[in-house]
Amino acid sequence: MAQDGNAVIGQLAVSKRGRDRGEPYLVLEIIDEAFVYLVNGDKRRIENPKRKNIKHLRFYPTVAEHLAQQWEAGQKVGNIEVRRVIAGFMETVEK
Amino acid sequence: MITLKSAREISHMREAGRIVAMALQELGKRVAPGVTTGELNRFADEFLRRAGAEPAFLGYQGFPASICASVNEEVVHGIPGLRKLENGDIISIDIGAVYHGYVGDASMTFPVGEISAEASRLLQVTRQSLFEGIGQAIPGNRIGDISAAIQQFVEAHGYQVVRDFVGHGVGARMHEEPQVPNFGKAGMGPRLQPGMTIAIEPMVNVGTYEVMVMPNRWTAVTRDHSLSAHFEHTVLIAGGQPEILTQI
Repeated sequence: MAQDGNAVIGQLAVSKRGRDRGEPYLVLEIIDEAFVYLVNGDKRRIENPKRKNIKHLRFYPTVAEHLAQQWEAGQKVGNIEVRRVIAGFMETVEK
Repeated sequence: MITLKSAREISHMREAGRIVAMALQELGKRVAPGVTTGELNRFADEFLRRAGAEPAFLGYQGFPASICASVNEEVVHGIPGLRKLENGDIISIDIGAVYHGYVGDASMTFPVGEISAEASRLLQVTRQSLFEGIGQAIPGNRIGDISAAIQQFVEAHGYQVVRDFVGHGVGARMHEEPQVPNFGKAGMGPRLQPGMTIAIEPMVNVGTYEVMVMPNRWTAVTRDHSLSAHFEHTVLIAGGQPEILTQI
């Protein structure tokens, strides 16, 4: 089954450029072909997402489906859940 | 992180691949005018389970079936249902099996009855482009060598490769790192090492490479409604020539 080659909402992404290098986020919103809004539920909360260039991110093939559905429906909620999901994802990718 | 598979993991992936290959072979015999895509899905689901595997696609990020059945201008991720195949159609069937926790993933585009010369040429070019890509899957090469070989072959024949969907690493999960695009520059991207397992899957359109996703959130179709084909194998990077795991 082909993988979506573009960033998708709810996807795990880790910063590879900038002062936040190494920081994991989830994609909250896709702004255009070059930029996304990111959240980590802590310094970057849903009410204050980080705008970042896609080129400065490393995307992982992992998507938080339940959050993506809420966010796509316009319900911008779940800072605590974002933190929980990121912690879980990072356990699986950083072996 | 790109995982290298152990001998035990590879043996499970070989079996998963073999089951997928057999399922595709049997599905090919059942593709005919009048058959619905839903019937093909039911057959595939039973076949996988009887072979001791689980369908990898069912429930994957909410996908509702055990195969993707993409007809004519549908590129990938077509949802099987009541659609009846007609003489002259082409149908891409994508299928994945999980065996002992490891995934085999493959796809083929089949002709339905008698198809046009253009459709027939599209199938030949897409299938051959997959093998052009596999030919580059040797240790020391990079992912970009696979991507460039596919893109060059396809474009030399006047067709376009889809950009929005890509091949992928495969193993304990269906989608692992790295991404394996069907376009790009030779010499770029992660280096290939023995023990890597990747799904190489060119999606080739007669017209524009642009696609759009239908309101069901899955089915991708060509923006200009031109025909599209899709061939895929799960491939093991070995010491020398690659081993195609989803081939009998």
